[in-house]
Amino acid sequence: MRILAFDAAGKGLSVAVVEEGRVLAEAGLNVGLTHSQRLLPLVQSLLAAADIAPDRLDMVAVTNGPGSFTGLRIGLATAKGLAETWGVPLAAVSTLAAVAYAARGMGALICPMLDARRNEVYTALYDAAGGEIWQPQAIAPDELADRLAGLAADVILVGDAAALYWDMMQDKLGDRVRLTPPERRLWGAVGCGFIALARPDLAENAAAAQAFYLRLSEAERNRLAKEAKEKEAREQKDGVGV
Amino acid sequence: MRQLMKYKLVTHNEDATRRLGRLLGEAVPPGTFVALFGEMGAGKTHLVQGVAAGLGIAAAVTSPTFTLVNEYGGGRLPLVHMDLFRLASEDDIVERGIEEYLTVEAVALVEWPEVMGCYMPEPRLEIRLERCLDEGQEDWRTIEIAAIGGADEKWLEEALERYADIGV
Repeated sequence: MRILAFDAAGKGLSVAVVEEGRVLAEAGLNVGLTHSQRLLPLVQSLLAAADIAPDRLDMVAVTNGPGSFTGLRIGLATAKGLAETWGVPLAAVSTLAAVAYAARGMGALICPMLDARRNEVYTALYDAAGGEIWQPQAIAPDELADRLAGLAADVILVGDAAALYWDMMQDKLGDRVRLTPPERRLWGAVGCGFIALARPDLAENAAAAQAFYLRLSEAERNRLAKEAKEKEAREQKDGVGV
Repeated sequence: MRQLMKYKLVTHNEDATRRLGRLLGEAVPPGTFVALFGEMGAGKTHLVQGVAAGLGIAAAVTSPTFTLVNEYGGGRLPLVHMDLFRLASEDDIVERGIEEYLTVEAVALVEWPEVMGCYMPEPRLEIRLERCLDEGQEDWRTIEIAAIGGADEKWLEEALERYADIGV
């Protein structure tokens, strides 16, 4: 089983080709959120450099969130297009699990932190082998620090927001917290590929894959608020009628 | 902690605003994001024209009000000139892919940046232009420049010193 995997969900952009126990090719960029211009050329040049023809690929895997709204849509749309064209299944992998993969096996719990704006991070918690302890969530960084402080276990931070809050994390967690080096912090493609290999249940028809935004867009929040208000108004009106 | 250093100066005509822009354009480092605040007629476009000239861009800089984004190559660094006046919300910022123009190389000058909300990058420069009128109906501009979130200021100070040396 040979998988083309990519991660366009955050600040970094990465592409990899993996098979059982082996990374065949990997490329990463960290030059701004220009994924729409760079993802397909990066896939093309990586496959060409590795001399891997698309018909030698058995699956496409992509990180489907949480992450930047734009990045997730670029990643998923590209993955769906390629999987559909090549007639292979598509695996949608949690961005947090994919990014956490780089810190596996270091004897510490793994806490990915992705920039969610509005003074929040997308985060989760994994054990040293990558097993999920906390589900994905969006919370304030200092609340995350408090929760990690309550665990009495070593924690290693990964993700594009880990460095942003490193000082605060050190203040609250002391020497129980570690930070992955920068080259292992923001590219999720290899992790995405290996997780897809290990989890055949994730493979699905390309059309079925969906983004996992975790948080509603501003338009959705406004619509829900409006609907709630209208419902309340209707109920009040009905109440008067009775 | 956020650093915030403010510089304030005055320009008395379009040429002076352009000259200031040119000095900024000659020194601005790669990847700088500049939020430009000011009403219509405050001189934002003149400032951008100056920055483009300072970067060595030969093309004429025109308003991006209808195109949202104009990109200019051919200079020391790429220049991205945006006008977000027509956008209504942070969702629009995402939908239009505004973030995708902010690369590690390009200098971005953004008019009407308020709508960016939480998508406004840090570190950044904020430049506020205001048109003032004296009693004789002579107009002039105050220009305030602030470095936000630890933006590099050394080049800025040097450029402003050069502006002061040349005189108004």
